[in-house]
Amino acid sequence: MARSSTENMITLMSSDGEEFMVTEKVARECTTIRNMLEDDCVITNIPLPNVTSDILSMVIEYCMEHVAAAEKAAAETAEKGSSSAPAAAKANKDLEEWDKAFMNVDVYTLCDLILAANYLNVSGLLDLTIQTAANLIKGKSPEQIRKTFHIQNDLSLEEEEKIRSQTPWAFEKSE
Amino acid sequence: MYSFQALNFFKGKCNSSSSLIILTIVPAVSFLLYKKIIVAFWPHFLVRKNKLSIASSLFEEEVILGGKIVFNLPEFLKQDIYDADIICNHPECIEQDTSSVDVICNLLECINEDVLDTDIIGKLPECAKQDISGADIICNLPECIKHKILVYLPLKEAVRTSILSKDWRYTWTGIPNLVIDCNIDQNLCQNNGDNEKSTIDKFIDQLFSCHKGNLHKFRISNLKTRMLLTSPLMRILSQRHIKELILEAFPDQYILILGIERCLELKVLVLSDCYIDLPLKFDGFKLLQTIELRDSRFFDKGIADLLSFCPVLEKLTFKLQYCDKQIIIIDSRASEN
Repeated sequence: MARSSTENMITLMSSDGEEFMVTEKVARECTTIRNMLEDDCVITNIPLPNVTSDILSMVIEYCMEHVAAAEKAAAETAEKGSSSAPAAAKANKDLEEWDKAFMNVDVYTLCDLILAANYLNVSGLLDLTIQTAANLIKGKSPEQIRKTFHIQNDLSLEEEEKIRSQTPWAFEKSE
Repeated sequence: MYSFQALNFFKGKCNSSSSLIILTIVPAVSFLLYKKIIVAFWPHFLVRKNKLSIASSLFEEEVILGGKIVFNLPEFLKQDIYDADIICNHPECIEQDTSSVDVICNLLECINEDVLDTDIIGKLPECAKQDISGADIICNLPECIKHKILVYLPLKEAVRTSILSKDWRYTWTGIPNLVIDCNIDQNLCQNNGDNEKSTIDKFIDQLFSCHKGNLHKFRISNLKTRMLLTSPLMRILSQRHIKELILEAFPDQYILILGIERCLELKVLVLSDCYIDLPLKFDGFKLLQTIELRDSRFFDKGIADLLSFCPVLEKLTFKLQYCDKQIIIIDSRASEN
């Protein structure tokens, strides 16, 4: 087996009381948890009152995938003595594809994931989710953005005119 | 009954602030099975597909308000809602509470098993829509996260988010990175002739009259016009604790920089086709780690001071199409450090 039986298991508890058993390595992907483990190395049960079970399971899924990819890359390097560039590039591409598929979620889940990634400090996931959110805004009209994120326009026409006049260069057509 | 009290409780809490809570209902089937059942959600849960289905699955287990929902409520409400657990399963739920029931009935009309995939908000009666104004999910993200999102956008698009809503009005003014790529924003970089103030200068003035937050990075690239970065602007950058300054003009153009010595917190300085005027007395950049100079010139003895007084300089890059004696001498001095 790839995993030794002596590997420490950590129990993460979501806000709604669901428990998730993960290896310490996976848990350490979350900087917040890593810091807790470093402060107190005997801790095995970590309550996470800011994360619901459905979001926590997604975060864990992400961490497991990325730990597995890193382990695989390390194993291949050890086997061959040096990493072969094409294989590494392919592995990277696979992981990117996985990330892309992983980000195929509705906007509510996305925002929850951003908050969870921020709270747990999973930098890779935070970058990924924030980039995804930015892509939802990029190139869209204000109306489209409002629709995507259910933003209600509470600005009056006068207020909007005023804002436009303060930064006219932002609202000019590029061409 | 119990639920009646719960309802009144919620109403008491909500009347003053429409964003707090609204009442909504699970799909009609559950409604029939359990007579009249009320679930209190955060407003945006209403439109939240997965949460609604969670709620309906919870109904089957005769538990209405599980932790999944409760956790999102403010602390002071939690206990009351736990109490409501028992209540809401009570077969003889609501008696008559006109206003709430009206809302609920209206909601019921538009909620059936299919709605979970459709835009529920669009179908709500006007009164309920107002209650849901808190449904702007991305607005519920902390400002610092919104800044991170905006950093991924071209500057213009980030600024355009100011007309989304009041919540977004000033969000962009706090973004830590201002990156202007003149290849993308061509209309900012037109040259209006020598006498007139060029478009980019006006733009920079407007930009800094709006932007308020601390700056990590300020970058202008591919500038195809002449530009003057003056001491007042440098003072603004310095007050915003600028860490990275990257100024890149196109080869046949140049940026004249005055007062750069004010930016004492600089860690990264990249200058391309720039003329830099340093004062005779200058103490150096104490935190500067990386400096890259491409076809840039310093007036007088400035560059000697610049490189001699950067105690933590790690990386020094020169790219010169033309060399003059002074720069070569200083280059060797810096590499001794």
